Amino acid sequence: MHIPTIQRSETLPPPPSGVMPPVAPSERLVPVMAPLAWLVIKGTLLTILTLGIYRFWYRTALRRYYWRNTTLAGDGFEYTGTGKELFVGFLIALAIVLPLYFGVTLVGLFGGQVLGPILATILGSFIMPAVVQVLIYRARRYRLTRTRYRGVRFHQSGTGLGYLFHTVKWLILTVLTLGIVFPYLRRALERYKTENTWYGSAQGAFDARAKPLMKSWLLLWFLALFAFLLLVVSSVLVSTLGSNSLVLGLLALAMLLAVPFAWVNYRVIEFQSFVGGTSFGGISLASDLNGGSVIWIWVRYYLLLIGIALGAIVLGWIMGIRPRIPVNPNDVGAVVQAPLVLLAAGAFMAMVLTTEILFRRKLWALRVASITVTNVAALDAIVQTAGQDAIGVGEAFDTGFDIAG
Amino acid sequence: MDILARYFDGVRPVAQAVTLRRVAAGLEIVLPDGRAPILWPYAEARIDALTPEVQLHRVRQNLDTGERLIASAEAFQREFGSMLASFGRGRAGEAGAMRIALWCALAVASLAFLFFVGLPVLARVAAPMVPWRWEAALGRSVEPQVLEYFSKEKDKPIAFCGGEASAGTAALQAMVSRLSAGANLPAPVRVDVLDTPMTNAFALPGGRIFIFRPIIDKAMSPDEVAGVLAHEIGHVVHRDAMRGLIHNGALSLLIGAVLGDITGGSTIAILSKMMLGSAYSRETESEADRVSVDLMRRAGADPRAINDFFRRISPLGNATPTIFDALSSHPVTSERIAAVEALAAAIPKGGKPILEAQEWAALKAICAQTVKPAKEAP
Repeated sequence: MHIPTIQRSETLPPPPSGVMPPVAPSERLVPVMAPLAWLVIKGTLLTILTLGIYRFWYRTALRRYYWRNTTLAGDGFEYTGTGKELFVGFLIALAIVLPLYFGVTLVGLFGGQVLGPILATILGSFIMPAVVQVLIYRARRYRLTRTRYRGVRFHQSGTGLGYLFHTVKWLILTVLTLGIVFPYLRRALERYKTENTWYGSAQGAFDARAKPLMKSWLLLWFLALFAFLLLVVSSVLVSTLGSNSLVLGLLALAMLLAVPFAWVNYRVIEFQSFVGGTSFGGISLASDLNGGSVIWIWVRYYLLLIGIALGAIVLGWIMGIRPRIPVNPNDVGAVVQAPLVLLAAGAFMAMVLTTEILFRRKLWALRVASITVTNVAALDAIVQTAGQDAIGVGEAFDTGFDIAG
Repeated sequence: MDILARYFDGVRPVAQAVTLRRVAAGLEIVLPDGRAPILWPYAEARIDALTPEVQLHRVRQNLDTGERLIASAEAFQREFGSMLASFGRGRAGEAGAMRIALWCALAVASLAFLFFVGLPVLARVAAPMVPWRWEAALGRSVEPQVLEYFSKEKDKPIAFCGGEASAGTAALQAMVSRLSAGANLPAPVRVDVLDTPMTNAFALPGGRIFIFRPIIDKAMSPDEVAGVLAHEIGHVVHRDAMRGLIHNGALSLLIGAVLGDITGGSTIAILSKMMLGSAYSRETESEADRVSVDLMRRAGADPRAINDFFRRISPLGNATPTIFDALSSHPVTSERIAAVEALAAAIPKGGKPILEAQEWAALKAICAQTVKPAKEAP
């Protein structure tokens, strides 16, 4: 099941006869492409039928799938969380968020003409995101304590408030520098997360630097800046001189279109750097994630979505479904026709399947396959330590499946 | 026959080569170097996968011990194939499929109860508890936005009909006070006629009522206008604007929180909101109709006049309720017309009109003179 890679062979001296060389064996993480479609179809249908309540069990099933099929040295990771825990965590999160929401609404409505909007803004744009940030960190703790490899559990130390503190500190600096130090914000948060991650007795260590990220980040930053400036200049030219600045406009548009690509490029380089800077008790990681492949997955995904939508429209046209505008307002019911509903449902399911199988799973597989683990033998020195369990609070805000991010 | 397997003890992430043996109580793990064998009772042994390799984990006293077993699929099937039903199920702390189904059903039922019963009751109980001062403040803060919404030209604010001392305004005030006399109002209502082309009337929070010009233009008698006005006063009496705010706010909160992130669920959310919202507003409309009949009777005017008016302006002459009625938030249905007829049945026909002839003439001409809305009314 695994593909052993020999990385150091050329740097090592030839082994003395009769003695095994002390090579630190390195292993690649291997993504196993097990069948997924039925899980997605069942989960989506049940989620709709239960007005969304099944989604906790669906999400758990998806995690089990991704964890189980991420394998190292032939053994898969394990997700031991349950849907019930997510459901209870969601109820607890509701109990925290609903009063806040009510508070914002009431203060905004009845707080007076001046004070009300100010208080509502403070609550809505500072307190709420802060609470969410704390819950995000707790959600990560939940996922880690439910992750095992070879029977030994991960866990997370640190506090949500500590994470919030780092976020606020670097956010202020990022705003003051108009976003230029954003990679440092990312690195600070990643560092806090990794150094508080434990695999049994092995604590995570993080020594990635932000400086190598600056090139790809500044590329994105200047691209966005120039696109914005060009747009302003061309619109001013059009409105004041009435001149035809089509070239300028097209240039600005091209730059705007390039921004998402630059963002994905940055994230890929960041992923390589952060994974490469991570180690656990002498076991170190490296990633050779290919930026072109990731960008292609994104492009292909949007092309597929557009294709499905167009396909459904064309198919509907061939089947003779014509959009009818009711002549009589009482005739609204006649617009909803059975073939139309079936077609829309089919297109919807195709999009859901595309999103999970051809997009999310593909990105997961690329990321997993890019990771090399060096010195797997150091696992021998790791023992399970008592790490307290965490309940699933904050899970309501958690949608990602990143296992190495 | 013994099966070769890899065993993880839950303490160190290192595989131990062991043999598995089937015993009466369960599954026995024979360790290599003569250590005592470990027994996993069937109930504690949980199967995670049967292919490509068999994977087992152990749950004791509802806790995952971290112990794991990995064995070849064929050998395991040969030895334990007949015992698969005896193995325990699921992860530690996991609920069975039946229980999940039960919870989902209960959750859906309680949501339905909340939507159909809980929220309307909440709105009905909570609205009167909001201090009238707050409601009035709320009304004042939304009034400019509402006026802007209804003004046809963007740059020109909507005009109010009648001046401070005009005869039309006096006639309108006379009608208001004659109707209000019988009403149980928390504070006097303030009524204005708006110079717009739409046929409409509504009540904002805080007893602010607007009647649109075409209502007066199209009315054949003062009682028709009074019927519409009394209906809006009914909304104020029941504090329907406040109720609607509470109801809608809580509803969108619930829909957002519960249906929140289902993929594609927003369609269901919008549809259910329309259905529920209209069921709710149909109820408040009939309640306001009841007040309208009552106030008209007390003022000695004809409660049936509003029906004549509706029949004249409504393009929907048909008698059967349609799906459109079920979705419309402000339906003028034959249902409502019939209900008003029934309520007014005991009241003798041909009462005295609510306005004298010259008052009615003045009201008809109220929009001959218009003023810009005052910045802030007390």
